[in-house]
Amino acid sequence: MDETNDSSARVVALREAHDREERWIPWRRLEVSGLYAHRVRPVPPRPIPIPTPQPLPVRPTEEELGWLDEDEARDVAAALEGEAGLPIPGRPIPGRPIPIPWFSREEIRLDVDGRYPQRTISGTSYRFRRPPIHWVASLRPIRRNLWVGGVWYRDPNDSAFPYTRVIVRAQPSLYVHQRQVTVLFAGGGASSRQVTYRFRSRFFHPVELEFDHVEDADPVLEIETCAHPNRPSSLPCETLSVSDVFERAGFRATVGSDNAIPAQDAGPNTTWSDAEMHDAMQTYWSRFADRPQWALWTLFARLHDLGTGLGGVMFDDIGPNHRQGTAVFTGSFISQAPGSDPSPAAWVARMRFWTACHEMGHAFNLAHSWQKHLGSPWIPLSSEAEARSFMNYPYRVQGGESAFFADFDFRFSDQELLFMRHAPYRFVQQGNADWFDEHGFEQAGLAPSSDYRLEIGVDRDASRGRAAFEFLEPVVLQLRLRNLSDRSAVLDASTLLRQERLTVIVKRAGAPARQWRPHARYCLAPRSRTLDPGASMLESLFVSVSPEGWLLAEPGTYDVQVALELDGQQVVSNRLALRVEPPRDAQRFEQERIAQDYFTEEVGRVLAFDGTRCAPLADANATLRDVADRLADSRAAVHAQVALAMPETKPHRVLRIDDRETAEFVLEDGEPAQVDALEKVFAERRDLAETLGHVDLSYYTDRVSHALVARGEVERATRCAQQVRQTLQDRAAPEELVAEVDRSLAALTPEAAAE
Amino acid sequence: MIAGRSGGSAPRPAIATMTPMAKLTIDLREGFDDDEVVVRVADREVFRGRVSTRMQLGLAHRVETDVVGPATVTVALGGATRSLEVDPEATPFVGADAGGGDLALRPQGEPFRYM
Repeated sequence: MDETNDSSARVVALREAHDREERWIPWRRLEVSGLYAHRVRPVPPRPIPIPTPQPLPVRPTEEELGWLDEDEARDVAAALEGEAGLPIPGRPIPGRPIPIPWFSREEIRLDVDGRYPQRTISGTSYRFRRPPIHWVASLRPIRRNLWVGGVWYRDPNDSAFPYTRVIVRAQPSLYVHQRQVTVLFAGGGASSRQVTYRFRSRFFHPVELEFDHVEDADPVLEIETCAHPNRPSSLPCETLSVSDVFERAGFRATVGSDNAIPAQDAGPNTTWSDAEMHDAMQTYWSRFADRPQWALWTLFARLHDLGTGLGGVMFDDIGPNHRQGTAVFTGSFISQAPGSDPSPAAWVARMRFWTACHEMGHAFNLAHSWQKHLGSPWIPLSSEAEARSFMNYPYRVQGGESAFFADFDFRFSDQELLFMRHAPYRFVQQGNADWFDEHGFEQAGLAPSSDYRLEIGVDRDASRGRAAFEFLEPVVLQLRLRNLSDRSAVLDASTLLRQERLTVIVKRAGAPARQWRPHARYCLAPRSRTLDPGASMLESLFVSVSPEGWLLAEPGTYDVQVALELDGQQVVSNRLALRVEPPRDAQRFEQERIAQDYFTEEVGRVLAFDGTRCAPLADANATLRDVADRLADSRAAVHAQVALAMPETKPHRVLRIDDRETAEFVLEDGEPAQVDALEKVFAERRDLAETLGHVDLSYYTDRVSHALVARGEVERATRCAQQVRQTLQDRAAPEELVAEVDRSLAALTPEAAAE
Repeated sequence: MIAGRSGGSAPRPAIATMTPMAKLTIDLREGFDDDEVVVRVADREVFRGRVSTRMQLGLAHRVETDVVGPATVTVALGGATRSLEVDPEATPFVGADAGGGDLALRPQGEPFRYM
């Protein structure tokens, strides 16, 4: 290998070779292995009648065989006749209905031909609001393009996927859009289920590989497999690239750019520490991100701080997202051919190439061959001390390096391929984290296009990309559902009020995502509303608190995203970035003292319901009065005043129990002082719209105005409404909200007061 | 000594003989899992700490120390202690592997290799 080749030309050559491979290769068109997908139109889960519990039938049922032709059915029945039992024996689940699983997207990976077939099929079924289900089954061929197999792995192991066996039929075609695979799921006491999947790719997963090298290093990204005489006699002579290796492992590998990194980035000692490599990864890797992605970075450098004894390392085991960065040290022992080697240059090139593939294998979460039984493997594994795999040290096997390479086909072992291709992808994918944390609503496989757009926002400016909220300030979002189509749509006017159809996720940086739930569900009579093309409907959403607790309380940065179930689809909003500021220095003590009583379930409930006169929640009202009095300048005080005033804007029904324990509902008039206090806030504060939001400000103004009119204070009511109207107009609030205030103003007449 | 003096040579002054120091490298390798380990060389404690094997390397920690002449290397892990006489000129690299509550020490002339 010419070590002076220009590295950029090397990357270009790899790309061109990859593209040539992708063009006409006739025999590939008859292979059936690959990724197939099925998209489901979501329907609500509905119980199905439970079959009478009985021993699992060994013979397949008519239901399982009816979809096959006569010869296929006979062969499948014969194959399963007297089956001794599957690794996970099916059993009926008595006592409750088995719901049809609400899968929005399903995919399978069929692995029966091509490079190193594993005779396995695996699948991932994505469910909205819940982690995906992953399953794996081994396959036995019955006849051409027909297999049966037992499900031996499920994650999670729950009743949404009870099946214990699969019958798989592939329909190959020269035309990719006609290729499909039909799978019948059976066993486990559930009715069988048949799904047809359409071809997506002959690869199981994508991965983007990016290589950079330090000026004083000698990267090797491809080798001539026959350059060294010590090799298997059956080894094909070819130019093998790193991307070829991973493509043969089942990954669609794309190769990224190649930077030359200055040697001084290693610091004055010219060797690299893990921290320096991590810094370089963040600086030079074009795909660097603190999130899981099918992408990894490989650095070719001369030496690590540990010296010539370290040939390479997967250094990225710090921070929240591991396994994204690897390094190969071309000045280490991997560049020192044994003195007796017949072809030292080829030996060195092979070792550098091997080391690169080895370290990249770690990025796919592969352990060393002799460590398979250690740690927490995804399935029980046995160590492969003699494996001829990229993941085994060549000098560790019996006979040493010469014995290793005499029998090495530049591949991963079957156990490793099974993992890379068929394990739950979160185990394999670089930098992966728990569901949603970095995936958002991605796993639900939501419709890429929709007639609607859901926008969430707050009525204030963002600083450094995040809208900032004061400590203790409740967060009120504005939801806007816009009709993107070119025709009018008739919707329920309460679409955005039906909070049970909203999925709201709140995630604080560095913490697990949490789902907001409403405090109450409202049964609303349907009312139609026509949404013209381009028109939208608005609603507010108080998202700070859920029945389970406060979601937006601690200072820090947050992301919020919302999905609305509409017409059988999920319409997903933009992701909104927020910041909760720490307590202000001037009132830090007061704010932190009050916070101990404020961030409670009771106060959250009172704010969610816009106030209460319920005696058991008197302490919560006392806390809100504390906020209004002691933190009068704060935005939290505005919300507190609203919650204290709203119950007083009209007669309030209160349950009274007398000494004889007789209970009756009594209508009590509202307390005028609280309404007056809120009116004063509306007159004096300039930040009402920012903190309450346009939608709620319009609503509260209407309530205050009508309360004043009910007391005969028409002028005050009119003045209050006009001030708010001006505020909304100055802020270019949506016209429909200004119109609502106008309607309210029109109703503020002496006649209305007399009524 | 001054050349040219007749007669016998002046007595040589005594010259202090210094034995050169050799570098000894002790690799705590496989099988360590947040274990408290003590390493002593020639009865001198050169390392004490909690170590865990980085699985992608097969190496938990490296201790480097200077030693004069052959020395006894002792590695203690919990109740297990293993010692080894090492000639740093011949085998300056010692590997310690843990497993099953026991330790195994291995000397060699070349650095241990990791990938």
